[in-house]
Amino acid sequence: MKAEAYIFGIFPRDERLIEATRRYPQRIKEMVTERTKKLLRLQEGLSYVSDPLLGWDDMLRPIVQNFEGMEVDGLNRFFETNTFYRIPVTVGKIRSNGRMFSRIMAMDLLKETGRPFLLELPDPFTFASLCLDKYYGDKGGLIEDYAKAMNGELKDVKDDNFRLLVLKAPSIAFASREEDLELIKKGLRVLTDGLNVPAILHIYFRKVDTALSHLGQLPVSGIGIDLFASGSKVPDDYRYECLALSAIDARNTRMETVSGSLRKVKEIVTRLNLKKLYLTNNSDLELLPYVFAIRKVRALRTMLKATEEAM
Amino acid sequence: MDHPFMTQEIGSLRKPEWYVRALRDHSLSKEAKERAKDDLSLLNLRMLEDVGLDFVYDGEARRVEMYEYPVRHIGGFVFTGRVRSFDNKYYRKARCVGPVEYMGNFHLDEFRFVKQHAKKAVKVPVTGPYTIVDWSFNEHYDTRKDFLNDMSRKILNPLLKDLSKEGATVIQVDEPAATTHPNEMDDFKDAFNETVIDVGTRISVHICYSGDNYRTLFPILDELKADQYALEFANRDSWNLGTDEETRRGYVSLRLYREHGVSGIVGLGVLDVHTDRVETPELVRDRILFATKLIGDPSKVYVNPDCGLRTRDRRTAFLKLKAMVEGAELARKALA
Repeated sequence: MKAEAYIFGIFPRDERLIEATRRYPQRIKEMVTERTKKLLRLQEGLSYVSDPLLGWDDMLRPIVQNFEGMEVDGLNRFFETNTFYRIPVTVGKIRSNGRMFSRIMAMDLLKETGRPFLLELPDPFTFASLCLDKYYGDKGGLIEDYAKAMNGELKDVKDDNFRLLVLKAPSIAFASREEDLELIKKGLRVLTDGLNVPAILHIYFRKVDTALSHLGQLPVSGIGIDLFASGSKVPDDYRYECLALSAIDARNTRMETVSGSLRKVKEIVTRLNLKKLYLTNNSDLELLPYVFAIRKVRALRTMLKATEEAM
Repeated sequence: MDHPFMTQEIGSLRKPEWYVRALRDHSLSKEAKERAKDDLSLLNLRMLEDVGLDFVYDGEARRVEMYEYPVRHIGGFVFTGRVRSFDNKYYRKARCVGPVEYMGNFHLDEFRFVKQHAKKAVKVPVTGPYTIVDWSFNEHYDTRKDFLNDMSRKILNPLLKDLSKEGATVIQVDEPAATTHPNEMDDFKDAFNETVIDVGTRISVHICYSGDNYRTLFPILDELKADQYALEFANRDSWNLGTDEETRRGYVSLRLYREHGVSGIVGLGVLDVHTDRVETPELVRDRILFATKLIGDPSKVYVNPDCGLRTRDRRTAFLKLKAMVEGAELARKALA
């Protein structure tokens, strides 16, 4: 079994960037680029680099703004956090125009690193669950069109260093109806069809062991499990070849220890037959103040090193 | 004396430029800054009285913000940086790194000043235990429940009792986080009831932006030891006149009031605090009349903005409150 590590999601803005966004909007692009480079350097020592998404105001908006057939509306609470997102609204058939990732992510900077990188998206079910639908009339249609559009966009990313796809799927943790389970599977099937990078489905904010056993085998390489969610554990009947284990908690400033992380890894390794174990954050690091997010990424690097040595 | 549709504010008003500049001015003495605080407190009080509200306070003139202000005065917390609320709006979030400690009543001086100068009934807003806990990082307590228990018993309950002894007759416990975690509603209820136990004043609880139209809240509402529930509705409602269900869709969830056998007063949010558009008195009237139909008793309806009006400039806040007071009067006439 191989151990790897990465971070995903929106990274917090530092104090100067927050202030500049308010006072000097003309300087933002330059500042975001400079800070993105810095945060990509921070990820040296991890197995993949990811865009810190510093220009993103929530996990949906840049995507929504690059789709035809969508608008953004008022604020709504982002799951069980004190953070709010603007509700995407479908007003027509959703379509993307190609090269979306170049517009919404720092693709040039990711490529410049010369290192393996990951790209991330909300999974189709989560995307549709957070939308207000005024066009489709059924969630299935919206899920299918989103998944098709994103499948096309991902196939357009022609770069050998694009090695991992992270699908952010907090809504799956809250899904319980039989018809939802079918929609989750359908969306993932369409989105991952024909892709040649492993996809990790990160389900967070709640324990998912029960939901996972109801979902059966999904068309992804592994699941990201939020072990910091109350009562959460990796189920005994976990059958995927990869597992993303939350080694750092983006919802609390309390620092995790290397020994604690090794204990978790050991418990998993003795129980499951995995090809690859990823150490990651559980959700967007922007739920932490900037200084703590930096500390936690450094801690993750140390945890990876210790895990590699222990194995 | 009580009349139907008593009017009240919820809490904060925006701080004027002169005040913010004065507090940031390093050349001003501490005494001069205290005078500026008194001036703004008095100004807000008069503004709310002039507009005709039945219950008033000082627009939280002395408080930085509803979370940061109390937490700065409670032992066991350290502020560490800002966390996003939405877009590029951030709030300072604290870590709880030790047992919480009551270091004195941080609302007492403010309350004494208001009580001394107010010409109307006073309602004191106080941030509740669940919201403080939910908006903080917990590095000290083994469980959230332990954190909540200490926050209710060691901090908020003594603070409320102090205010009561000092002459407060109505206290509003602000709990915007109450419905954030639907599976913790019992914890919220227990913490709230511990907070208000033996306080001896009328108690209101303000809860806003629940995200599920209060479906999670209503089943436990009657178990809260509160006389009044001040809730938001206007932001989900239409701007058209009328008292039918489609036009007044923001208020339809009030059906749950009777379905769950709730008996307290509803503080009805009739002003959307997230838009500069000013409601007309007629729109306020129709919102009140529709809600009253669902609640079934005009004496169980008070009227307020959805939330604190610090989100709007002071002139807009004034105009909105004026429309609210006039709308309440129109509703009284319509029922007379």
